Amino acid sequence: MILKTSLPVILGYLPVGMTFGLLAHQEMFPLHVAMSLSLFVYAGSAQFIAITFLSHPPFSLFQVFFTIGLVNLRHFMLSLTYLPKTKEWKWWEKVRNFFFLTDETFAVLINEDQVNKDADKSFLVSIINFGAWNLGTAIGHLGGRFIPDPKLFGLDFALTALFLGILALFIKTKAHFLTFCGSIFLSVVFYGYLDLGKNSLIVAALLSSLLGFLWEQRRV
Amino acid sequence: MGTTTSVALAIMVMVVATQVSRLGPLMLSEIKFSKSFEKWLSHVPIGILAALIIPEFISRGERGFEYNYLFIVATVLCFTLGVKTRNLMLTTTVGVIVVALLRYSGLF
Repeated sequence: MILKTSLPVILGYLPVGMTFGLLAHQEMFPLHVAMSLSLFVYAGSAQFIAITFLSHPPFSLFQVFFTIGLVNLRHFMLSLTYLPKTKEWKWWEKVRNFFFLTDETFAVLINEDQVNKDADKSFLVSIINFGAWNLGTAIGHLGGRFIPDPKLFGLDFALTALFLGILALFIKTKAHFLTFCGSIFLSVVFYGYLDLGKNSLIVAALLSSLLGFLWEQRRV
Repeated sequence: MGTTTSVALAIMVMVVATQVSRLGPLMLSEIKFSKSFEKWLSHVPIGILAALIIPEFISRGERGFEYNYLFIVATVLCFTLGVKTRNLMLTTTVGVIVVALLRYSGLF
């Protein structure tokens, strides 16, 4: 039952984890840095964003905190939604399990009440998913050394392509698409035309998310 | 990459930034957030991811900035494919192949 619950996540985490390892290798991250990100941060899109930060020093810690925090803010709703399922758990079991609550783990757990009533079973699902992600990262990083020149294969586009793929998964409504277009427009204006630097990208992101959200509210 | 210390610090900051959201709700289990807040949250990662790809398309020279047309064309193709298939691996792989092909087509 536990393995059955985890299987879709394993199938997704192995290849995407490998992509992360490969990109980290391509940006000259040593294995221990790539693994530290997967072991301790363990948050898909945030880790890919981490690559863009860490590969372009100097970066401000405030900027890192703000960007990663905002991207992961949606986990807040996931945790909040999962919380009622865990009423019978001890407090330390909650802390232990929620630490590993990614989008995908949440997605497979939320409707598995047979698993959720036992904190250890839920933890096992989380840990198997975590293992798949880290195994993928290691394989990707170690495999990376067999690829000579990334530019030769268009691999310098891989991170952008991956972001676009993740974006496509997040975009579910017209309002989401408006946020996407608005963010691109504002970012080109702020970062390109006005040359306001990388922090202005976060401002563009926040403004466009508000724009998309407000447009969505206006229609109902 | 940055220095070892700055990278280690950044990773620690990322752990905190991630866990604030994951573990935070354990402390305020009784508070109910409005549907609107939840709706807005679904827009935030889209805004951020879209903004973060922009520096890939714009390179700064001495006279203002230049667009990277190769990446822009690849992005349009890649994004369309992503929306149509909703397949992360396929989108990434095709994107990379498209860039490689366009680069050797001599168009860019």
